[in-house]
Amino acid sequence: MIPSDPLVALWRQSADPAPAVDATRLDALKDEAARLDRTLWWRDVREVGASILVTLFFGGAAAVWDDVRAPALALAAVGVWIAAVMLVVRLRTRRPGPGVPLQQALAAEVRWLDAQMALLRWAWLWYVLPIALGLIWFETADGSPRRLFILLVGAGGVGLARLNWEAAAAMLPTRTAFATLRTDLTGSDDSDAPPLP
Amino acid sequence: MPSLDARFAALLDAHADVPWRIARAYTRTPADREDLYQEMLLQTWRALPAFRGDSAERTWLTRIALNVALGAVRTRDARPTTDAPTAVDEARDAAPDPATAAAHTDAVEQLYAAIRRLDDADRALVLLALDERPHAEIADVLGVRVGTVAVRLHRARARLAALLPHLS
Repeated sequence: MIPSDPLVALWRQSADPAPAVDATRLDALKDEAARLDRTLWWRDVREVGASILVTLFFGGAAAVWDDVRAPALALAAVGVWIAAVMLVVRLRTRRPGPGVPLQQALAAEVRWLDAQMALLRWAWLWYVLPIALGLIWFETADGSPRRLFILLVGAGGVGLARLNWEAAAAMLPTRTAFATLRTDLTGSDDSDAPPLP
Repeated sequence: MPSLDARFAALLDAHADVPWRIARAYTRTPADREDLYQEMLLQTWRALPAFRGDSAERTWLTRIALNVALGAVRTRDARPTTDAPTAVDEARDAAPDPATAAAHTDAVEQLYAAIRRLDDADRALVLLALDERPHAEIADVLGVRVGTVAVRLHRARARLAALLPHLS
């Protein structure tokens, strides 16, 4: 825009004072920030805590029951594996603060969404299958067939995998929108985009 | 070292118009605008302790406002394509002559309406250009090259002008 541009002149004249940030508003902001921090903390605790509980329960079972020691240890290891996967993905796709340039923020958002969608799409492999196989092994370790249990675990696993797959599909439009905007900012090529780590 | 409260207050005393105007350009109703502005303030408050002055305060605040606005619009899948008045009455009250004021606020509303009809990338560019930011600062806010800003801005400005033939 050039200074004599009539739109710039109009913009200059369109003074529109922002609402004042008084003590009441600041207190409300602090409360909201604290609430958001708590929400994020509990989300992490829930995600990793469930895996740790599985590990503790089956680790304890392995120590107490000799006849199911091997499958119980396997399930305890599955709990550690699931927690580790979630933590590693979380750390590798950590988002930068909001004060970074738009291209960088968009790149991080796309990277995060890609990781989340991959986790959800492949949940049947890294999450559902190990737990299902471990549970079936645990339940049939005494040699009994337990067909109904296997059927239920199988059906539950398929349902869980399907839910995860659908959740990944629901993220795709947002991912596409961010990626498109990233391309739009630089034109047809991607030369301005920061390199992905 | 001033307290966080004092830094936040000083930052907004000087630059609150940045998030407020960006919020207006990315929302359709006053309530949505207020919500988006609140979210921008919230993210600014949370990010402020880590801000070390690597960029100018206004540049930093602009980045936050744009990142929040674009994130909110995308994740809510509520990209505005139509328009509704937002601050017409406030501006009309502030103007001395009702006829002049009405014409002026109509023109301002038309400008915002046209900005909202641009795609997100053009909208961000045009907002910064209307604010008379140098190309280098626009490049810094968006994270693109200065040359890219010049090319993209030329096209965005042409699109805006085409939407407002009587004002440009």
